[in-house]
Amino acid sequence: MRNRFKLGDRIFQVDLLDKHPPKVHITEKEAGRETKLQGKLRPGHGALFVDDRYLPYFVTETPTAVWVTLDGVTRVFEKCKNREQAEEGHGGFISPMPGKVIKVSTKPGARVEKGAVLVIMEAMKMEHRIEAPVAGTVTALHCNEGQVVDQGFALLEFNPD
Amino acid sequence: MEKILIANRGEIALRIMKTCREMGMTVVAVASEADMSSRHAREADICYPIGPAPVNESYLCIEKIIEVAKDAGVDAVHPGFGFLSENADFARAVTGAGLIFVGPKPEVIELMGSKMASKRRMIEAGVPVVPGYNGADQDPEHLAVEAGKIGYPLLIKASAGGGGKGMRIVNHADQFEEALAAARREALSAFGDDTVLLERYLQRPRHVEFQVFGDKQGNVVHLYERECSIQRRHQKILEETPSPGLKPEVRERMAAAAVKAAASVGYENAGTVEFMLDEDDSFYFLEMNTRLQVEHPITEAVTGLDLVRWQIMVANGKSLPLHQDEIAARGHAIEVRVYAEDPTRNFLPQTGRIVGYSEPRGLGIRVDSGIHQGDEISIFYDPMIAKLIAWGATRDQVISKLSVALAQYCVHGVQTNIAFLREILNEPEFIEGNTTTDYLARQFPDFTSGEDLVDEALALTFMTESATEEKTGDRAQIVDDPWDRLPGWRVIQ
Repeated sequence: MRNRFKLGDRIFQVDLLDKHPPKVHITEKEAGRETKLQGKLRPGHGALFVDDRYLPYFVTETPTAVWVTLDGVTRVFEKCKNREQAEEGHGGFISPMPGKVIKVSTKPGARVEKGAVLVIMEAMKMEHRIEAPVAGTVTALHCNEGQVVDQGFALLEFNPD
Repeated sequence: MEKILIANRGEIALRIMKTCREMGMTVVAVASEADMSSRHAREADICYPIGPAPVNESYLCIEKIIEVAKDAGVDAVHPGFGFLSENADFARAVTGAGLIFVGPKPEVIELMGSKMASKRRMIEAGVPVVPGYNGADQDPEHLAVEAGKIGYPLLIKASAGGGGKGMRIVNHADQFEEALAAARREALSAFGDDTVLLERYLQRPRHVEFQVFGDKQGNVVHLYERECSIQRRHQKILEETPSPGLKPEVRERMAAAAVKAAASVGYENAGTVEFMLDEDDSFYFLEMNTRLQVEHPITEAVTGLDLVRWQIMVANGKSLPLHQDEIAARGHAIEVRVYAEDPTRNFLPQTGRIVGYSEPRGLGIRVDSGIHQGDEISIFYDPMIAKLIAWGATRDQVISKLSVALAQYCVHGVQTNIAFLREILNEPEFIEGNTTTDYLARQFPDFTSGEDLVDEALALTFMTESATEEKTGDRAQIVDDPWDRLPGWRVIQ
């Protein structure tokens, strides 16, 4: 059984090698490593035995992601159907929340440095800046100032250098 | 009092509901269109829709709420906190409709709502306020004399100011003249007005507040303090009682000042007197909150009292159930606020549907929440989704209890600040009790989640119901090994 996940800008391929006890092979950037689980392992929630301690965990699967909370830290592993989808990476900038675009500070074709503010959004009375994660080029713009957008709306297209 | 309307939503509406039920009252709730299937709407005995999701069209609509109260035939209205709880017009409208408002008198709400007026009133009552000068005489020499009276370090602020413009911290008298000139230049160019005011500058204050209670008979008591220094952008994140930085003798003086502050305005019902506590143990009145406080559960934990019950009794004209010398505080309690926000992305509020939810349990653990699985966290309301409160014999015990409970709290579907809260609980300065209002800015200028246990978390992605079922056909094979069930069983060779 093989899953592909994205976590931030990290991409993982996870292969289930053994079911009992669960053992996986993780591939990240062509390099591989193995991890074996032990503990009180049940679907959904249980306790993982790590370094002489039992750490509580919770797992919830949705159509697009698997949410894993382990020892109080929650990670959202986004599912990728195939290698290509996983590597699409930085392509589209999606709105992190439903809200209003209050400022667009870039235009199509603009070259931007890492950290440059591209779009400013507002939701829940809070301002949120969409910044360039790396230096690159804004290839397309899909939003206007004052526009109200849904979560997941592609605000712009970005090509990293 | 037999029927009560709770003019609020979420966890506080549910909290108030619990006590009302215990007291045998019928509970009427109001809900916006976005909240019709939320927990507070469903758990109430009767729920009235009050309009669209935006708060100014629903929860802040005085007329609509009064209309519901009349239609439902309630005896009283509890405002909770936030929304209309500190709105004098609302309190007037409730009493004007012949109903009981669970809170102080409208005049008192109004007085405490004004920073200037309340400060003046506190000075008259002999309650210490931050020393300062806010006079018309702006002659530099006169200002220097006033500065000397206030003492250093002090703060020069532009009267018309905001956003730090025209603001200067002055550490010594010999820097005053220069700093004053600079502040004035800046104020003049930014606001077109170079009037300044002077104020004692507290470098590392603690935020310490006292819970007070008054009744219609004129009795006022305090229920000890809460320290709320752990704040981000003036938003409290973690509160505790007793304060780790308060000497018993200072506590006594502050408590007396808090009672005096409340008594001086004829305070009725639950209120909170907020102080800044300086490093040299001097303290200053900040403001008074004329309502139940978000962090009231820690006071309930150490005193064993139900503050909502007291509120309702007092509003009903009964006198306070206990005298000051009958109110004791035992052990330690800490509350952390769980927000739907992403601490790794500048605390951006999160929206989404709760797809997985499980609350922790344990001795002395209390969860006040307003959500459950399937709920939608929308952009319309406060991102605080729950409060986790722990009570125990000592501060150390409570810290570890909370840390364990947080790790057992599952919220899936929106990101929360749970991992961040745990980091605070594990941070040495916090454990030492070195909590001042600059704590978060000082210790956590940035928050990045660790890379620990990523591989284990990845492997756990196979521990879903569907993966374990579909791949093995028999879930027991992978997850429920009979050998694991033998306690203390060993193979002896």
